[in-house]
Amino acid sequence: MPKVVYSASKGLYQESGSGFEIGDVSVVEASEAIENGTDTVVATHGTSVLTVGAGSDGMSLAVNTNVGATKFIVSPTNGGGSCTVTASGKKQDGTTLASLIFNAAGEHAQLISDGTQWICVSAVTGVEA
Amino acid sequence: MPKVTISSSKGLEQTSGSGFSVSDVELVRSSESITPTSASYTVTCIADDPADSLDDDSFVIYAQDGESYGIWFDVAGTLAGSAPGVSDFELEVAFASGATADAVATAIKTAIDADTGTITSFGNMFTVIRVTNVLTIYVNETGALTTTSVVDSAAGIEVDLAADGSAGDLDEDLECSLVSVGNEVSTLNTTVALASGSSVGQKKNIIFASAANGEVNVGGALSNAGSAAVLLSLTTPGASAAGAACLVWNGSAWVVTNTSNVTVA
Repeated sequence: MPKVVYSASKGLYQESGSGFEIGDVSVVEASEAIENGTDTVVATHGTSVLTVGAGSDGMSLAVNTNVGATKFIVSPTNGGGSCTVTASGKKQDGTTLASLIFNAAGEHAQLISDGTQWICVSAVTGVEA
Repeated sequence: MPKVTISSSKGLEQTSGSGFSVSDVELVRSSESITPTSASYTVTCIADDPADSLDDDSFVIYAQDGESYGIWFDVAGTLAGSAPGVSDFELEVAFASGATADAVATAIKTAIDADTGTITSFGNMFTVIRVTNVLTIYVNETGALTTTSVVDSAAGIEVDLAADGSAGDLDEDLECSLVSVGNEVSTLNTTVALASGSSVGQKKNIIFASAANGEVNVGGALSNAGSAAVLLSLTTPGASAAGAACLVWNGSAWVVTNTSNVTVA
């Protein structure tokens, strides 16, 4: 069985074995920059860097049907407003998750999909509702 | 030095530089969906025929650790206390001569359910579901049976091993495991094993899906907040419950980095 390896020196190559190994660099996944008041949809994969301005607006995060899909939302800056991201799933305490509200700089959330809903495994947000 | 980039427009390409980047498509994780079940036996009862009675007949099933549990029949109370000596533990089941198959099944379930005096009592070792004359006898202890044989009754009660409890261990090489429970019994829990990782930095996400039919736990070499741990379980199980645990292999243990509705013990 072939094993696919990436290393900074050789690039992508195959050798015997199995698996997919990233040798000596980090994997950079897809990311997007979004802003409340401008954007309304959060991508269902990768990392979203959310800028919250002075307004109070909303966005939606649809379910990713791929089991194990991970989603990071980070909000490094806040201009005094808030952004309510609607997301269907479970909070960390097992109760129903309806939305994540980002209303301060530095807030973030990590979610994993079970194929039908998001499960929030880490969150620092103003409100996890 | 080559840089690898995967994009929706160009697919896989190597350019000068270094790094591995997935620019605008989703990196789909390897995953599995498993429904582990507890070990169980199916017992198909027959009616007592006075001409070929079930009196003094028996069958034997096994607990997870291999200890044998014999169920023997005393028709109309003539053999009370005369256990046949066919197993480590024995339970007398009495019913009337000529009892129907359903009545025989009911008598077996009633006797097992009522036998709860010690930790090794039948009622503490097994959980019984009856549908007409067919019993499903679940083994309460989790894990694969160490003995997978059965001893049928001589008179024709058929005993089959329905599940040996071995199915359902997690594949440590897959990045995500979606786990749910498939037992009929709401109080019956199941434990599945997570083997050690093979590479430092290896990630493992475990998602606990609906726990309507008993709780599922995951056992393995775990490390939580600097302390050794062995078990992951849903903190609040239930029909619509869900939870998740994010793990990273550190070379000797799976480090629990994030959890949602999961208790680490």
